[in-house]
Amino acid sequence: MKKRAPDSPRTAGLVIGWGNELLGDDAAGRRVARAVEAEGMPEVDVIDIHQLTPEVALHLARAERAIFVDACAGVKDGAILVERIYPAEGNDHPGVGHTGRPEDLLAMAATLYGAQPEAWLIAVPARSFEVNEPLSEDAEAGVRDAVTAVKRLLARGRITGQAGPAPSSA
Amino acid sequence: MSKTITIDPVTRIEGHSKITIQLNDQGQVDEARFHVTQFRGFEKFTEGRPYYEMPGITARICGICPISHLLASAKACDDLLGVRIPAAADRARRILHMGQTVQSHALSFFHLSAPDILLGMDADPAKRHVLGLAQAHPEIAKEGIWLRMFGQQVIEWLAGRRIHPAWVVPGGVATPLTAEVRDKILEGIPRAIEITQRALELWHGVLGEFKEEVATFGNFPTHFLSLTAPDGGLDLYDGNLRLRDAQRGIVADQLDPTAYDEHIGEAVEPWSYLKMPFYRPQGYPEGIYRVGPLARLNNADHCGTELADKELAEFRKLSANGGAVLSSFHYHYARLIEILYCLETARELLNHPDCLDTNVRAVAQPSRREGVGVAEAPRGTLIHHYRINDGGQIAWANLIIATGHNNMAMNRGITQAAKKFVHGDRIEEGALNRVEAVIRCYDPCLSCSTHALGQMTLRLQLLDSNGNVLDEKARA
Repeated sequence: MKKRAPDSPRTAGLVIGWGNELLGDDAAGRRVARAVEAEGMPEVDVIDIHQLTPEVALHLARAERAIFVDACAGVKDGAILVERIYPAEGNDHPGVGHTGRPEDLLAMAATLYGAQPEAWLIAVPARSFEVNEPLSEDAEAGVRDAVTAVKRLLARGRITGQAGPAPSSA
Repeated sequence: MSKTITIDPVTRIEGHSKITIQLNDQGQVDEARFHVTQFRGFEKFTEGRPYYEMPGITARICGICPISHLLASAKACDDLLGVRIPAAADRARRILHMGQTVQSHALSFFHLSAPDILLGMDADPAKRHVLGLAQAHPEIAKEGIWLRMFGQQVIEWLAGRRIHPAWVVPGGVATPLTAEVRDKILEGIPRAIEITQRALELWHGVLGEFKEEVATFGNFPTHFLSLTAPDGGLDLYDGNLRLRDAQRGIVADQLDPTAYDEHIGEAVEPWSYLKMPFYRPQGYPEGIYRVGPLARLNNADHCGTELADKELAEFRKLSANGGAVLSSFHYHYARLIEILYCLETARELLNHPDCLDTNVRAVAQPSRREGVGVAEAPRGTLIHHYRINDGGQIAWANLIIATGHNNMAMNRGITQAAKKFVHGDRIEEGALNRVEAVIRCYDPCLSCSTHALGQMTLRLQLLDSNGNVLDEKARA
């Protein structure tokens, strides 16, 4: 996991891949995160995590641009989906931990720290969630496509890496 | 005509589950059941893997308490090796465990349960969640994030990664503690204690508003099981098993945890993948017991640290007759006390004169074919039991997780709450939330589950005895 200390200045890009590594295609998001990390892109932090938990909001608050990557069981045609996402409005039923959603964390970052990074969600096609199974062919292909998409999204932004004021953690 | 109300899946817990509420012919609640709907199968797939891979593999079961699995697994491997790990390694593992418990309890209290506690059980569900909490009580939400992050940082500083670290190894830990890490942890502890004390003040301030919940959220006599230190004190990492009854009388004490199966049986019900552990001398289901923070504080004679013991004295007052604290609603309180205990204990361990001792690993080959490791995970007693073949590969494994120990108590708890709050053939939002909140008291972890996008909804079904849907509610 490549990420800055909580008291570090703003970062240009943040990539968050999450899922359970032991459950087949559920690991796809994390595979993407690690592949991005291996690229060693400057000014890009990576969070490779099992579940979305509240402290991710603090990292979001320090990012100019954030890209979430997760496995998705409902994707048709085996192609990844890339969607611009925004903070949740709070009128549904957000949660953290197992039920955490990127939109909830964006809303927490905005509510608690007054920060709103541009954010995207990349959904990688998932077919199997069986214990200890390798990624399916669709998910493997999706991981490759997602890494490309992440790099394209980060390149589209003017990632300057200039340090801005970082929000206080409490 | 009997009817069933289904809450599927339960929200704000870790994993997949649902609740069904069975009504009798008079429209009154007969029984409620907590169903774990996804089979895990982790024990089976570990067969054939080298024993020394087990800590790393089993830590990946859970994203919230990987360290607990890591430690229980490493202890089982220590047992296979037949080694006693160096004292510095024991201290290092304990400090790691303190960080783990702090971050897990902080998540449970500040972000999963605080919406109920601070916004109210009957609050608008559109606002009664972590985001609503952030809007209504931003400082509390931020402090909860800080505390959880501190626990995560302790893990990361010690082990290199906060999720699934490989620092804990059979025989000890991979590298000794450094002065830099020691000082960073020590620097953060005062603020972490302040945050916890403010949360305790908050808890004491609102507790009076939850008399009904205290009375009906799993408030019944059971036994309590946990590890305790040889002197009877609270111990989250090691020790022997103790069992107290509802009057706080000691039923069994200083039981060898590696012989757990002499004392604990496991029953199976066809409607849940989660097994039903029971105290073997009493049989099933009479041998119901609870584990976790409530059980640990009921069982321990003392915490052994100043601030936690002061709060433990207040905790004892919750029982008028000197018996055990029986309401599962007080799991929340017990978690806060344990956070204090962890922070104070970590400080003591970090100030130990041999804290930086470099002898942190005993190296050996397996000398036994069977090993058991037991630790107190944030949610309760966690047991890893392995058998290996001549090549050191896992031939058989059994894991009893904390949520499993509490399975019978959770079922009895939701039945009690449903009888109090569910009336008629429809379930109101407040009643629904209370039944779910009983489960959240135990902070069950079913993280075996996938979480992939588009799969999480809350679905309620009202069924008659023929399986016909009479009413259905769903929220995304």
